[in-house]
Amino acid sequence: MDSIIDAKDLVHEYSRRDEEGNVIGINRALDGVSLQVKEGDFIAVLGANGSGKSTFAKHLNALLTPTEGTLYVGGMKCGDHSSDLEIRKTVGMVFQNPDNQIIANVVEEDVGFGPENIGVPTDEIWMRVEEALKNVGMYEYHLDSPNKLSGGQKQRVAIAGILAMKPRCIILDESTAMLDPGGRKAVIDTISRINKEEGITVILITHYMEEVIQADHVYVMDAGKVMMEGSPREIFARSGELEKYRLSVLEAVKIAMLLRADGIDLPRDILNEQELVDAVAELAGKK
Amino acid sequence: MSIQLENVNYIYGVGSGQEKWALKNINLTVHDNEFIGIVGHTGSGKSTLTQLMNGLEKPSSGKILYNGEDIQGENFSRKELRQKVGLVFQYPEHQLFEVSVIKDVEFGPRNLGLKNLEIEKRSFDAIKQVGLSEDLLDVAPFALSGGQKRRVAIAGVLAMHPEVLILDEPTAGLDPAGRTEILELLHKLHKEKNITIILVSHSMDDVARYAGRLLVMNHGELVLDGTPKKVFRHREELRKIGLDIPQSANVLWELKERGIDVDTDGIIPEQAAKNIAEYLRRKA
Repeated sequence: MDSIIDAKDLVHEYSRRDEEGNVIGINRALDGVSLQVKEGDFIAVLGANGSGKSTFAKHLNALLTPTEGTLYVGGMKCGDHSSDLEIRKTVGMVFQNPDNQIIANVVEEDVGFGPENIGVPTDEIWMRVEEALKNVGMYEYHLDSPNKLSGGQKQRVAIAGILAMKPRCIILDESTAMLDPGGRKAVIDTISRINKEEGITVILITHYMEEVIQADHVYVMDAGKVMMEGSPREIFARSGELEKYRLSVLEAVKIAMLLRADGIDLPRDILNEQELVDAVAELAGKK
Repeated sequence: MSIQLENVNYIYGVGSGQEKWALKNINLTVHDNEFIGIVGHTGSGKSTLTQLMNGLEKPSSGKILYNGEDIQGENFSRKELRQKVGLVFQYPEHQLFEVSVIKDVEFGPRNLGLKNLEIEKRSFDAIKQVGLSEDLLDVAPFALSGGQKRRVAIAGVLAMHPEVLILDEPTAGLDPAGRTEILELLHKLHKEKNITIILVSHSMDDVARYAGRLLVMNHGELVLDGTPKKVFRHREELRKIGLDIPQSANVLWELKERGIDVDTDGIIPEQAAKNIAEYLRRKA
């Protein structure tokens, strides 16, 4: 079996408590999630706020344990805490807020914090730090204070901190949500290159449609369940369903839909601006 | 209502030897009942500009007039200015602190020294305006979703009865449906309550759809000012400062560059689709 992630009927329940701590209700944040991720794939999990996508992500590096169902990460079973440390070495996680993840006063020390904690010898730590910072294009800042960096740069440093631990899989849990368009693009380009060049599995949790175009496979979550799955192209062609789950399609896809509704014979599965331009050019005989 | 900025400069760290110009020679007038979008990179001066407009920051030089009166003048009430020009910060939900939604919304009007009945009426109206259910009045803000919290924060400013509402990226971090809901709310406040809206945004697609006027900031300077359609015609200029044009406009321009004689004057999908359809029918 070459799945790095294997979830079967995963359920997670949160208890709601009153001021005295008595349980007054139960929220089912994950409701029977089954999915497998092949090693080396780039997976996107799309979902609106509150769809359960982050709860799912937090299971993958053992921050949360399943209420029901089974989850294997790199062949290790999650839930009994015996393999938590190994699981966290296998799967690294980049969180949403760039300002909450950086702890050191110098960029290179921040990146070295992870490998130091898992007992990597000092000489090798410095080698890994240099390599990781070069990999995310942030080496020129290695002696700077993280305070001076933009949000996108901080997230790339956070990614370098994960890379320095040499994980097999990186999860980005809405890591682009607080960035401006330039920062978002830099993070997505970085992570997609790392996936291709290093073969590290990437799981991208997001609600930005433009970020999932490069993914091999997309899962759409709503109310704790996986409601849709397929290639980005297959998912984008089902815009009505996406809207039902509080998501949307790119403007270029909207234009294509409006034209089709107007009786113009465009392909159903247009993915982005370029494909729309190509399709219209072909209709106009200007290919 | 009008806000006028005359030759406004804002410099950080004066006398420190590391002066940084956040705003350079800004001249601009915000008229009654406009819906203005402000775009520009992080650090371009957008936020400083909005904070000057409600008197939260003081210009290093130049004048700001509210209804013709200098807001730095001795007899000018800056407290009243902050009530008239409401500012909703980025991630405003981080500033919610009361035990219930209604108490949080009441905080502003209570500080204005209004009578209890008036405070309650205004707060209740504001909560209704932002589309929150009455069932949530006594709920703790922390128990709400991100989009709901943001509505509570906006309601708190609306309860002050502002003439101008400035919002710094009010849709950041929300899912697509949540973004549309907030933008539609602003659209409604503008149309039905005649509130002037100033929207700081990173989304060209959003300002193309909602703003009647667009300001483009770059390195502290106001580089473009006009209707979104006019501003987005400056495609090359925008590209040079690293800003995109709306996807719809981009599609039309790329078709044009392929030798397809489509009308490039469209910035939202409905317009782009119409222009493309017209071209294809003309050709057929």
